[in-house]
Amino acid sequence: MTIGTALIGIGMLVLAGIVVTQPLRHKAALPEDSGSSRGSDYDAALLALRDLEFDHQLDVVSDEDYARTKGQLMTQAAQALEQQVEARSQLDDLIETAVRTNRGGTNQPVTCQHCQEQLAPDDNFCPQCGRIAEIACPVCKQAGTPGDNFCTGCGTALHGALNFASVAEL
Amino acid sequence: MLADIGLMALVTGFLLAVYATAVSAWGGWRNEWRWVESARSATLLAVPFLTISVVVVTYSLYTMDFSLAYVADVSSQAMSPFLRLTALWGGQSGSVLFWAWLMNGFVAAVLWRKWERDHDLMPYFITVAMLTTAFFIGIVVFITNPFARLWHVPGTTELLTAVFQPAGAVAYVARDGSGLNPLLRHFGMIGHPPTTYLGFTGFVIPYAFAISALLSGRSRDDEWIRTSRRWTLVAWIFLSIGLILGGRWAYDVLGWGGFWAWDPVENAMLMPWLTGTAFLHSVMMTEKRGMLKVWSVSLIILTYSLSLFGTFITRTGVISSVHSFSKTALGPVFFVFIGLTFVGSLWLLLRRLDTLKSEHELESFLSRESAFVLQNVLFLAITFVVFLGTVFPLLSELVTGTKITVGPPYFQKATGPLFAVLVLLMGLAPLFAWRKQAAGRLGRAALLPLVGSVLWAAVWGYAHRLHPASYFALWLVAFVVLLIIFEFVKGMQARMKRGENPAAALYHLMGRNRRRYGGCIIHLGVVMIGLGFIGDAYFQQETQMALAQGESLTLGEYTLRFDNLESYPGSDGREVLEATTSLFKNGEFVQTLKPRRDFFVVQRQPMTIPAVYPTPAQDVYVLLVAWEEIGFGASTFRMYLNPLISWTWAGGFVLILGTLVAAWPERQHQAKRSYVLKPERVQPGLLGGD
Repeated sequence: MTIGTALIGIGMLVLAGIVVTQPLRHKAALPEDSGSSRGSDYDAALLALRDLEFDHQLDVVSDEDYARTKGQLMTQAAQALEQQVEARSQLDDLIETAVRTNRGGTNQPVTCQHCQEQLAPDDNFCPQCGRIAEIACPVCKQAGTPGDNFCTGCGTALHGALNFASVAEL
Repeated sequence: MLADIGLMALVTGFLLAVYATAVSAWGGWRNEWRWVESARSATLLAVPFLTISVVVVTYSLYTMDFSLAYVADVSSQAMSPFLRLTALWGGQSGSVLFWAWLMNGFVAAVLWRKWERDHDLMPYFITVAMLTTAFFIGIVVFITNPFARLWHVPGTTELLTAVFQPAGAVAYVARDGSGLNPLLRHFGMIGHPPTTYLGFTGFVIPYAFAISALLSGRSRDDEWIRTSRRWTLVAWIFLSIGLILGGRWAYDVLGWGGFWAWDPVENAMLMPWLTGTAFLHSVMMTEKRGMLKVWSVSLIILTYSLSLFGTFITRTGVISSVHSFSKTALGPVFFVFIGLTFVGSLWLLLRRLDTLKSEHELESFLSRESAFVLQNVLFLAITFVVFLGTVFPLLSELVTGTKITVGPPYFQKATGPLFAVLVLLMGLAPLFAWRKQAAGRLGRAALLPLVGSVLWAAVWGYAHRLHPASYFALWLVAFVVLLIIFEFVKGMQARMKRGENPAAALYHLMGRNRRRYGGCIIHLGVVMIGLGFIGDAYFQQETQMALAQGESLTLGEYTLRFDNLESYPGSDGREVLEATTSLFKNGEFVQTLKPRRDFFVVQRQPMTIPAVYPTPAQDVYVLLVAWEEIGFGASTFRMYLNPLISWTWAGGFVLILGTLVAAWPERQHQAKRSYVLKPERVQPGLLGGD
């Protein structure tokens, strides 16, 4: 064995050491099984119903078992559908809130700097005092108008606060 | 230098395997995921390192680096390049390295994608699978190293084999190698050993999942069983292909007129195949009814242990076999490992029995569950008979001091009736309903196939004046084939009621019920393979005669005329003696056949190479048995008519096709979910899937 080959061997061991200790250099959390690839319970119930129907046609499942199992699966499908609808409704609510937030920039109502009247996002003039509508940045108090997307003083997003990531997580 | 790099890669691979085993156990015990991730990295990284070793050995064989003892042992200048490449698995060191590489590859394949899905099993899975892999790599490193060199001690005629230079020895390079055993110098070397190894090593995955489930307490959950089933199917198909290719090889090379001789190594392959098949069936009960859980886990353990046992027989040469080219001293190591694996697994299984309780009980003898149980019992009974016959020489030597070998008649007589019932059950089981089957419905479903098969067997048997026992065999095959065909027809009719045309009905039937109809195709393939066995057992005809040039011998409707005999030097160190004969069917010339007798000069080993004229009905199989040395005056030929043999090879293809249909990946939610039949007292509940 030459020095060259010994060096190659050492190189192999070093490479292996670097690769296998890489995960040890950070605190790895237990992976979550999101279940996203598994389809919904509703789809599963429908597929199971399809299988049951077919097996019954082939006499692999008796009439009695067919009737009972079909009832169970349909109950399950209904429950799954109900859960889906509920989840959908929650999702809609969240989207609504997010859109509202996006349009308003923040959840706090935007008010006229002069008379504190509440302003709508597309108001150019205060409906109470008639002055040009101005808002203040919640971070640096720099004046702006309701149509501004970002604060001209500090760059804080006044609009576009909608957190799509949080919606997508639903 | 290249060999040194291969050696270092091998050692690095071994260290990685040991590391993966240790840190995954540590991570699982301490519940620290980063250690498990580190073990995963080590497992994946071991693959390229072992690949380097495999490539280096293969290259050394190809380039004939005779400084390596392994190369000098299994390669030679006379061998063709293709044979030199396949010599990787032609001897012990190379084949154990190849084995370890494949096993590591399987484990890495499980960890490559979506491994987080079974994250609570993974620490245990990596520990079990990589412990086994480390054992095999360890054997390569410490006991049978392919990078060991030849050394010569000056002043002696002694040649040493060692990885590092022994004191006082100098490196020795052989001028030529011994070369592969002549029996291995065949085209079959490409397919048979690798597929067999893939089958054997693949069973480590379901085994590791089963043990992980037992260790982690997840054995109550059925999800791991589904994963195990998929990997079992992968290993099973490779083992099936290995068996079929091995049979074909034996038919082409060994020259006894058949393809299955109940040789110990053939049996060693058959046994895990039988228990693996039993598992693939019992797991359906576990999935659909929550039953036979202990049975299923036991079958996985048994299958894996029998795979190791097969390796033990093949690699140690402890029992005389046509495969005894690999007689070595690995026996004790393997024996201890198999014993520990088997006993340890059974102990664990007993500890976890409470988590594997059956959710339901058998409710009727006439039910699909009963058919599955009976079929499983038959598979195990056949396995036991084969095991007993295989180890009988060892047992007899242990008890009486004399080695007594049981021959094919024992296996044929003991397993024949069991196989017959199994084949019958194979056809009938799909007709049975889950839980309980109304006898009337079963009778109606089986009536037409029964009548059709009886008529066919009676007419065909009468027309050909067959042996009485063959009537039953022919009826059985016809009955099962008709049942399978009716199964397809029934399914298609169900779909055609929805307005689909026959082609669309068949397509959707197969596409949406892959496991069921893939299984039917596999059953069809098994029946076709069975035809070859029936032909061999009942209908084979044989004759032998010494012929002078121009003389003929007749068997059935075929006549063989001896035309000429010539001798010439063959390609890889063999002297070939080849007869030229003409085959006539009912007086009309059909083909020239050239049976041969090859003599390997260095090994001093003869080989009888048959000449075969294959047809769907029967093969004409001709052997050159003897000849007169002087003047080539007369030669003795043995001629067989092997009916239905071609169906065996065709059945092999059908079986592979069926397995591909059954194993073809489905969309995830489709693959995982199905309904579960529960007795009436159980409230409406969850799906069988997750």
